[in-house]
Amino acid sequence: MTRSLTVQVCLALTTAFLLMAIYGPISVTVAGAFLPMKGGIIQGFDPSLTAFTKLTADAGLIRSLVVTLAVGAVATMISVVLATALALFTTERGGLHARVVALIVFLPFVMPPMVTGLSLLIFFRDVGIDRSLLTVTIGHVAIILAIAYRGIVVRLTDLGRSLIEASLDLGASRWQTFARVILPNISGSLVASAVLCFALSFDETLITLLLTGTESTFPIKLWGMTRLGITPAANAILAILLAATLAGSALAIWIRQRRSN
Amino acid sequence: MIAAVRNRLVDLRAVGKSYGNAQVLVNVDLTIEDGEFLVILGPSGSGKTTILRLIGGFIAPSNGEICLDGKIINDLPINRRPFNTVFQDYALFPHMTVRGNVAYGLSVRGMPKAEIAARSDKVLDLVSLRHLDDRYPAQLSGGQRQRVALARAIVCEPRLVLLDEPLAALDVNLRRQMQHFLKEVQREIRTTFLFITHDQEEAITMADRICVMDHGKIMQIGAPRDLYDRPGNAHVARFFGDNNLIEGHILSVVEGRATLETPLGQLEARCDPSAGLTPGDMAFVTVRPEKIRILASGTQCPEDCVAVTVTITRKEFAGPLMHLHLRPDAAPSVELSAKQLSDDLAGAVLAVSDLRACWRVSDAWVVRK
Amino acid sequence: MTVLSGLARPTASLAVYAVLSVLIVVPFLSFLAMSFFSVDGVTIVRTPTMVNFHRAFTDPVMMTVFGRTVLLCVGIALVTTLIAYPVAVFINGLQGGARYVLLTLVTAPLILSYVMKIYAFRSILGGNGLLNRMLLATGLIDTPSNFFVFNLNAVFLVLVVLLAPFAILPILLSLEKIPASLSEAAADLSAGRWTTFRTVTLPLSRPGIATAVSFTFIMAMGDFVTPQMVGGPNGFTFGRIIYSQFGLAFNWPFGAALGVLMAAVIVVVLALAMRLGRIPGGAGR
Repeated sequence: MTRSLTVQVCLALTTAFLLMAIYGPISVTVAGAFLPMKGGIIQGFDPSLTAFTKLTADAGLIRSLVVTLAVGAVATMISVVLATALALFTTERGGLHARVVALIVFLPFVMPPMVTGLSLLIFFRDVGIDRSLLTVTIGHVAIILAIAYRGIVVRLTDLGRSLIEASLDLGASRWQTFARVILPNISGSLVASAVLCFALSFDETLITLLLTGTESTFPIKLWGMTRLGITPAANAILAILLAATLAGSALAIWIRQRRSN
Repeated sequence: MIAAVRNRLVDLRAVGKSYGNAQVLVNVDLTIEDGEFLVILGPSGSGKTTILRLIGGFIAPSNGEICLDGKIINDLPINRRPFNTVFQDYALFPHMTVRGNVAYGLSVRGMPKAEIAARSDKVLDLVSLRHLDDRYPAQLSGGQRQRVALARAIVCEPRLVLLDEPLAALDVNLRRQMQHFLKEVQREIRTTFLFITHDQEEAITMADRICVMDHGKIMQIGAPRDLYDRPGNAHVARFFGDNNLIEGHILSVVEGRATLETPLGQLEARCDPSAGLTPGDMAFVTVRPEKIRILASGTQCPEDCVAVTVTITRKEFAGPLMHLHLRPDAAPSVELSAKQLSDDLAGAVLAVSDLRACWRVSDAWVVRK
Repeated sequence: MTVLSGLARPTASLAVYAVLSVLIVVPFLSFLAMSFFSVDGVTIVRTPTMVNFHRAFTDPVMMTVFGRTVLLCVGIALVTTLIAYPVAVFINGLQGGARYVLLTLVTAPLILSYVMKIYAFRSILGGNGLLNRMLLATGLIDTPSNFFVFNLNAVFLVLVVLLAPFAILPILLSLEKIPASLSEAAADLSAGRWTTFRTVTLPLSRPGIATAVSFTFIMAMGDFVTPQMVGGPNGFTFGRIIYSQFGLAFNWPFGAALGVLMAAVIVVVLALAMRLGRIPGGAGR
């Protein structure tokens, strides 16, 4: 059913306004990578790439990026493996087990990150673990586990029991069934979940603030900068990030269009 | 033809299965004979799929024993039972080619590659899919996928092949082809087939023996002809093909012949001497519609026949046969149906009333109510 | 289905629950336990007491800030959902390439730095910021406005914009699930476009709306970074109070108690959302 023109225009305008509001601050940030800024306000129109060159010299910033990538990679790997194990467990058992596990897994995700972070903080203190990148990583796992879990469970449910039963029926062991039948068929979901988890971990601020020790991740570094002023180098990183994200999405869309033709 | 004497392969002894309060299978005793094509026939909910899944090991019985060669295998896991299943949705591995699917059962056992290739080739030839062996399931038609599923199951040379309504998704013509095909394959590889279906015609066409199930219980097991001509109870009498059931009570039983008092008068019919029918029991006289002949009123009936004066209430053309619905004058509430070859009735100006429906006593069979 | 048979079954159960306990259940229990303890100087006294909850409920400042925060977050949730819905409807009406492009535009910002966005907002909303300069330039105001400078209004605006994508996605998902044939059927039965929307689309998108509102509320409640950065002294939220208990104020038990309070409110909101988000007739989520 087609919409009237006025309705369509109104909807389009609302969307446009929202996008302007969302991308407003983002454009300011990106602008800061090319134009001189003080206190977040553009000083003049004098575009240069000095911010990008300064980037390589800023050791602290680079280090925080590396740390963030490392934490992200480790947290993602742990979450995906754990989520797969949990998903296999619940889709086979079903019933009460499935619901209890789902409830526990989603708890840290649904609660404000602050509550999850504080719980872990208190727990670590009780157990005697000092705050460090380890605690940060565990915190990230707690939050992103739910995402990976949901993605994999949905895919496993879609797959259905038939394939697993068929594999066993033909004499394969549990491990063979997992490696040769289940894994190849959920690989798409695994990758998608991993990407999502990594993205969430990369920008995770709230939990990280509570659990961080001496090392900073990139968001923490930025947080620290907000008092003194964000360096153009940071702006540069974000400009790169935005470009990479948009490029990646464009690529994904292009591949999709290619495939459907 | 005398049926070949076969060995017992799989036994179900007093097997029952319940889910909570719902009893899906009740005290089932079933023997599957080596080399036979056994069909389990019943409507949905009758428990036929449950039996297949119990034998395959996908579910465990609530009570009773499942035996192979006389040994109890209740605790044997799916992947250690020497049976293979053709699933209703085929369950082909979408990420493997036809050859990959067929070879799977052999490759997980660590068989050498040369042997796997040889055995796969043989089976693919058997199902005429060798030329499509590098295709993926998504690129195949329903019938082709069916054959891949079959090939995958038989390549492992199992003791028993379990087929879970495998033809349900195919259209009528393809289904008939596949029925013949499955029967031929079974004869050729001489493996025992356990075939589940709700389609009577399918069962009659393919089975060496049929096991009729209803509400979790076995109604009767026997060769198709036996079930058709001599049903053991009213359920099987009704379920299997069209039948006339005339209610009455038994007056006398003498050596395989019984006399019943019915709304149509006293009727004689054959019965099973070992069925324990006694005078006073409520029972049915069953007569297959194709055994009833319609004669004009004056015509004499042959010897040893029952004749009832009827009026035709409806005629239905059904291709080769004509279905006639009859109302006996003596008992207007009873409805009989007769089937005659359309050719026999073509052209004949048939009066509608005052006709005689006639059948031989030896074609009538008594079944307990 | 007996994929796991014999000993494997209980071992797997044990392993699963052990990991989950250590990672999630035990920490939450410690959190709960902490709320019943108290501080003595710099040491935590581990004897159960209700002093924290007592203080939380009787201290007028606590209750005022709590009430204000809840109200603020409810407002944020409602406004965000109100804006998100038409955007979701718009995107749902697009096909192919345009749809993906818009979807990307809406979701890409989620990956960019949270802190950075708020920082940028701070400068935009400031006295000398972009917003004011635009308003001055168009002549809508004469002097720079302090409406959005370091107060709860700023927190409101920033959170609405930041959380909008989180609201758009669930609504879009539930709109996508509505089969096109339903609106065709409504039209066939002579329903006008608005009526179709009101009687078919809107009720069937209830799960999405409920998710959007509840998630936005939860995220707003739990956010202490935004208020800290753009809230200023007038923009104190409950989240900031909790955060400070674990920082300068150093009263972990009290902080935990406040956290428990917040968690309780959130559980209530979630339960409400699940209830109200059901499609009458029980069609799937």
